Amino acid sequence: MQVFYFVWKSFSQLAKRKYSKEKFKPELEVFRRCNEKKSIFRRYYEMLMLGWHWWEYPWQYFIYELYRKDKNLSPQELKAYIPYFYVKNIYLPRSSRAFAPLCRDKSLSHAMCASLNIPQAKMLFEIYNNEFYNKSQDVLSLEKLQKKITDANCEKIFIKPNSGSLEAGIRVFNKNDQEQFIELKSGQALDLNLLNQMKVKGHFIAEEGIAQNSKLSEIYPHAVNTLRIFTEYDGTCRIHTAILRIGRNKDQIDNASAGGIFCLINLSDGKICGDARAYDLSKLSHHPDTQFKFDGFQIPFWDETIALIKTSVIKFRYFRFLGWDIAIGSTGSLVVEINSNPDLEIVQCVDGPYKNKLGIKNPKRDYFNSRFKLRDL
Amino acid sequence: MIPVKKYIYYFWKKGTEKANQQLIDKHIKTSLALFHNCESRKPDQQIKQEMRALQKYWGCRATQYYEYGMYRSDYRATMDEMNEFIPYYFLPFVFFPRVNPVYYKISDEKNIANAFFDYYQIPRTHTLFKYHGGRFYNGYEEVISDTQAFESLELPDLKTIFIKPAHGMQGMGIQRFIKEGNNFVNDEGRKFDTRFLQGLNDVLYLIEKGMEQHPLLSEIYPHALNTIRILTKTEGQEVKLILAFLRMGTGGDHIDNSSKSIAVKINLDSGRLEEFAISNYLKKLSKHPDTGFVFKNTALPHWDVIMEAIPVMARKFAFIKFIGWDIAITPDGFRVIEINRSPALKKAQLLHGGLKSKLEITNPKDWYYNTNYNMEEL
Repeated sequence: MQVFYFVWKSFSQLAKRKYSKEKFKPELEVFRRCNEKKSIFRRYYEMLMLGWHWWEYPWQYFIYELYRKDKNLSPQELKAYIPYFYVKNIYLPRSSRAFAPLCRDKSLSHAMCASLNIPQAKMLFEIYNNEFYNKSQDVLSLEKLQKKITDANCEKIFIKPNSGSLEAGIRVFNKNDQEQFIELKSGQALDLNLLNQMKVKGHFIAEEGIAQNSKLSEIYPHAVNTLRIFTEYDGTCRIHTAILRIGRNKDQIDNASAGGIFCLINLSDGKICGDARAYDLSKLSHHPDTQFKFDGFQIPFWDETIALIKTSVIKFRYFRFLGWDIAIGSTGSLVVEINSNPDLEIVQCVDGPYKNKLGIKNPKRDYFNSRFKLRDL
Repeated sequence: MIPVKKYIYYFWKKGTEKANQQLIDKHIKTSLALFHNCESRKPDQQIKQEMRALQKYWGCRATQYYEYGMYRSDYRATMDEMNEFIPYYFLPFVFFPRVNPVYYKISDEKNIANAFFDYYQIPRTHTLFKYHGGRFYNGYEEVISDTQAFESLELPDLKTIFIKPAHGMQGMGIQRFIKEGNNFVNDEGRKFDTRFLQGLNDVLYLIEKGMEQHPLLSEIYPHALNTIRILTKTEGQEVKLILAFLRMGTGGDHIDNSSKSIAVKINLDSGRLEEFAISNYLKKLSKHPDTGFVFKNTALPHWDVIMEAIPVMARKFAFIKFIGWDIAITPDGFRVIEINRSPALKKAQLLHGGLKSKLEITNPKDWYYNTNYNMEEL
């Protein structure tokens, strides 16, 4: 069984090599442009060492710029950065197990949060099976659907793919002066015509846009700048890292992979510490659009947010590790999304290596596991 | 190129059968005993032949031969008719994991299922509080004190409580406590208190209010909550009601799905009980062995309401294709006790005959090959 697991995981790693190459293209580009690289022999030695230690191609060497001359780290320090495949395919799946759909499926996640009294954005309707549904999954007539849109008490409506990740496929509709919701990118109005087209395309959920706290709008007003909080639960709740993700270039989404920037928050006082980082690894002391200075900014409702996280982690105690996306509104914080398999790249970028935090001792040993089954899809 | 993934799946399924041999043996223990004690069996040669044919057809051990008494000399059926009966291993290990693949934790964990019932406004049992490893939780999963938890037992109309493991199946681990004076006491005379809870296994337990069943159901058998099992199949907006039967406790049992329990088929259109109930020992009963209640033609109360509600509820759980609904009939309507994504269908096949065609299984062997699967850590 253990050997089967090892072979399976090793093959899936190989199968994902092309995907990883595409995913880390920007990092590879930064590597190519870098003039301050360590010698070629040292780089090969370090990459081989990391590859052997983690049993996978050492993408972390490029993601965290470990090839730079000024990153003069000991072998132990280099090994402390967790690579991509290991965390996404070996380590975190053991935390979420079969419960993952409760986070991955936005409709189910919304239902869970609602019945556990976790504050979140208001769901307007769902689209699937060629029909429209209200939040209780009763079929909505076209009149009722239209009324839901007209009565929406918000400036924006988000339509998200039900099982999308990394904000792919999210459509944002802004309310104009004529009280219509229009997508800025395409100019399309959110009307029955468009919804009828969407209903044959898959499963979507429509949510009222959250009005973010005015202080966070000062940093960047066009997107809801969300917190990503990484937690662990093993009988007690531990908050490992909190990051503020900020949009840029008038983009209405804050996600780092969508070109956004991110900065580390000091967990004890809720203030941004240091400069922000962009996805191309550049450091920014001020927001490029608003010139807002990041360092020292106090996140509003910080204590309330921490309290919300601590109670919510217990409610979702089926998972050991979770990445919570939190929006801060004018009256408090709301859960935007829960990730059972969150990316650690941006976390390790700003908060340093995670191996010791997660108590990982011998990664290769984790490639041998007998506690698994084959699950039909 | 040899489709390796397809064959890995095949060997996995074959290996799973071997690994679960003990479980299968346990499941057919009663049926095997009946087989060995049966005095009017078919000739040994015929039994061997038929079992071999069934095993070949289904690709796994022909447990149905024992379970449904096919070895009896008075059992007259063609091979095609016998093939209609699905063996034990095939349903929970091959069929249901394939048709209900991803979302099974939602039905398996009563706690999660209850959260969805609340959100989808489906009437369910009343959870008083929850307990796990020394901690008490309210309905929102917020930690509460033991005083707050035990205060919920002071409801004036609370006469019975049930302690259920959130992950239990087939009534396993369920305990009943009845109010005696100011205390709740179980059948063994143990008082329900913090000390009792501390002695439980380290899993989540739901403490639920005992439900009052409709007087007609109490007339049939008063000591257990006699529930209806309805099997549905949902595809898009279309919900098909496949079968329904009523399960009843016997011999003083306070659960309706023990090995001693009996079941009677319900006519889906009329909501009336058929003439005979059947026990796990293949005994046909025209009346309840304890109360003498005659089943034939008894109309179940609130049947129209249930039939109207089931398709609506099944559509809300459309992400689970086949669901076994356990429904309790109350004086004022019905409540969902739990949903099962891999329901035990032995009683269903005893009452309704083989379910192969009803579950749309054409060639069972095809089900052992698949390429659309992934690895899941446990």
